[in-house]
Amino acid sequence: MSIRPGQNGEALPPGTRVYRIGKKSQLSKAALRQRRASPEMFEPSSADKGSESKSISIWVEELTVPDQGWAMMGAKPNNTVVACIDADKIAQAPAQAGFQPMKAVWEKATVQNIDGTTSPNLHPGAEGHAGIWGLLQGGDSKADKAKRLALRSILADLADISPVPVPHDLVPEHISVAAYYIAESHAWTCGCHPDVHWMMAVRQLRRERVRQEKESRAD
Amino acid sequence: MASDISESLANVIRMLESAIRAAGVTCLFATPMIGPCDFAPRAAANPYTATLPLQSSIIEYGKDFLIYTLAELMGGQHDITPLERVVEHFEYLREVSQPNNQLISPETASIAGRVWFECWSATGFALPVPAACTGPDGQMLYTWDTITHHLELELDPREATGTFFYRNRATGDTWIEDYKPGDAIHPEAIQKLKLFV
Repeated sequence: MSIRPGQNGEALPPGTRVYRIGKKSQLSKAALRQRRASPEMFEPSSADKGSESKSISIWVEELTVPDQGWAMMGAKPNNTVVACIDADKIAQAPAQAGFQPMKAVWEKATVQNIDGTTSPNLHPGAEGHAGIWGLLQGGDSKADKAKRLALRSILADLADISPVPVPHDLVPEHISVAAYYIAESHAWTCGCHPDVHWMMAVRQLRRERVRQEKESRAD
Repeated sequence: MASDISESLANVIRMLESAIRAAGVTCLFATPMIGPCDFAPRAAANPYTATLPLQSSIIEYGKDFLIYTLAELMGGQHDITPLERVVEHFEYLREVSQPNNQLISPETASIAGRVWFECWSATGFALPVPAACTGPDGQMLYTWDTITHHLELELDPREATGTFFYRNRATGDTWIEDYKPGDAIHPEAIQKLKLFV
């Protein structure tokens, strides 16, 4: 599957896998043992509430390796949890009465300049930035607050915690081998910078670990 | 003989536990019995697949026990006592409110600890330690889950009250109630908390 970033507000294509790393989400050991995302990981920040898009940040896995997303979010050593969701499931989540359904949409990543203005984020992987819209609907009533809390807990239920944290704990030699294999399979003619092969290797090894974990759970 | 070995291993485990807690997850196994290794970080990453290089036949005898216990120390799936869970929870509250990693304020951490105790007391001292997570603006969220029931208690430093929120996954029913730390817990909230006892 090859995904091209869309325009701001455009829905992500069907079958897109996204993930969220809560910027200030640190889970307790009890939470980590449960291997369950916390609804707080989907809580919009004050900045999200004040933003034009009214959405919370997610990343498209095909375009942004979680380690890249984590690095762009400040590489905080305690934010190790990656919550993965199928974008289709977000759109299919039951809508709350009077609320629009949630949706996963493209949203170009930006960086804040010293003077407070923003510029496009040009870091590798930034093109995979997207957002979940729908968590900031309704007013100040208790009923609307309950609907918002229901939505974020539904998102937490839909999410899988990746068995590979950020930063990844992959064996460096395995990454080297996979990167070499990718370069070979590109017949060394792709013109990619070696870093690109390295990132593709990390993505492939991450996916493999996820697949293995799913298999072991099924057993 | 077996009990002697178990006791020796238990002593080793106790030492390892202290060292792990004191030093974080680093290479700790530099003894003649268990050679220098990188087991700890690998076990932390995946306690179920990390293997421990063992050089002693005595330790070899107790390998399964050792790995079982280390996996437990590293947050594996084996039982830990309710007290250990509470201690762990309060360590977490301290950790996330430290000045160098201040995700919540010390006041919020203190309130969160007190609220946990009040909820535990209100359920006849039976409520398990919640799964906890910090929020983007200094919030602390406690959650309790079963297959059907989901209960949250969120403490938001920007608001004077906390919020209980319940969702029944089977029916979609929800319930919400404010809670002011220090006040009596709403009877309905106690009923909800007891769903997890």
